[in-house]
Amino acid sequence: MAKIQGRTQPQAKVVQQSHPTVKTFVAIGVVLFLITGAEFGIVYLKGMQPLVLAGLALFSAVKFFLVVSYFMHLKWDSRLLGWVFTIGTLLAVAIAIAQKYVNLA
Amino acid sequence: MSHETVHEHVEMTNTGIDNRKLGFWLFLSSETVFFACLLVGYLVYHGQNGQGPSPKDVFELPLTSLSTFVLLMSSLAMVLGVFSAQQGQAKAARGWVLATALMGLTFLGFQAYEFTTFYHEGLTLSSSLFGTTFFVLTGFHGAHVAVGVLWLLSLLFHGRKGGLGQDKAGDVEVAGLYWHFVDIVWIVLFTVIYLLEAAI
Repeated sequence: MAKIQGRTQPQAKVVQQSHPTVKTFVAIGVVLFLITGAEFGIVYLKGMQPLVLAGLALFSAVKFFLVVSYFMHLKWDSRLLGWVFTIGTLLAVAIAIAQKYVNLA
Repeated sequence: MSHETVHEHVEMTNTGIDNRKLGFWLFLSSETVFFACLLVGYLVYHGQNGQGPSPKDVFELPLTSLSTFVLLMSSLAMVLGVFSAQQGQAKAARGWVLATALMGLTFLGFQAYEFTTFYHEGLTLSSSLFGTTFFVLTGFHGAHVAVGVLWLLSLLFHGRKGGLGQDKAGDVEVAGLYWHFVDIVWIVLFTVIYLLEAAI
C-alpha cells in the first residue's frame, strides 16, 4: 500500500520519474515551427530535386520523432510502449515500401 | 535540458503500465497501419487524374502549410495541458485543452475550405482515382481530428467546475496521446501528398 496525497490507496505505487519542463516543450514547439517553415521554403528550390526530396524526408522524420518522443512522452515512458508503437510504425513502413511493387496491369 | 521530479500515481498491473495507456498505444499502433494502407492507395493511383484536375492544379501549399502549423501548435498546447493537469494546475490545464480544441477546429475549417474549393474546381470523390484516394485519405484524417475535438470538448465539460487537475490527469494524457497521433499522421500526409508533389 502506498500513501499518496494523504489518502491510502491499495493497489497503487509511487513512481518517481524524470519529466521535461515547460521550457523543453516550448523549445520543441519552436523547432517544429522552424522545420515546417524550412520544408515550405525548400520545395521552391529549383535544380536540386534529389537534395530537396531527401531534405523533405529527413525533416518529416525529425518532426515525427520529436512529437512521438517528447510530446507523446515515449522518451520517458516504459520501453514496452515504445516497442508497441515501433512495431506498428515498421509495419506501416513495410506496407508503404510494398506499394512500389504493386502491379496494376 | 533541466528536469524535475514528479510523483505519479500508477495502478498496479503485470506490466507496470496503466492498462488504459497500454491499450491505447496498441490502438494507435493499429491506426498507423490503417493510415499506411490509405496512403498506399493514394500512392498506387498517383497520376491517375482522368478528366479531373491534377494535384498541381488544385493544391495551395501556403494555405496547407498554415493549417499544418496550426495543428503542430495545437500539439504544443495539448502537451502543456497534460503537463498542467499532472502538476495539479487545473485551470491552466483547462485553458490549454480549450486552446487545443480551438486550433483543432481551425484546422478543420481550413480543410473544409480546401475541400469546397477543390469541389468547385472539379475535383470530387468520383471525378478520378486521385479524387477518390485524396478525399478518402485526408477525409479520414479530418474525421479523426473531429473525434479528437469532441473528445477534448467532453474533457472540458467534465472539468467545467474544478478544472482538469491531477484526478483527471490520466484522462487528459490519453486524450493527448490521441491528439498527438493525429498530428504525426498529418506530418507524414503533408509531406507525401503536398510537399513532394510541389517538389517533383
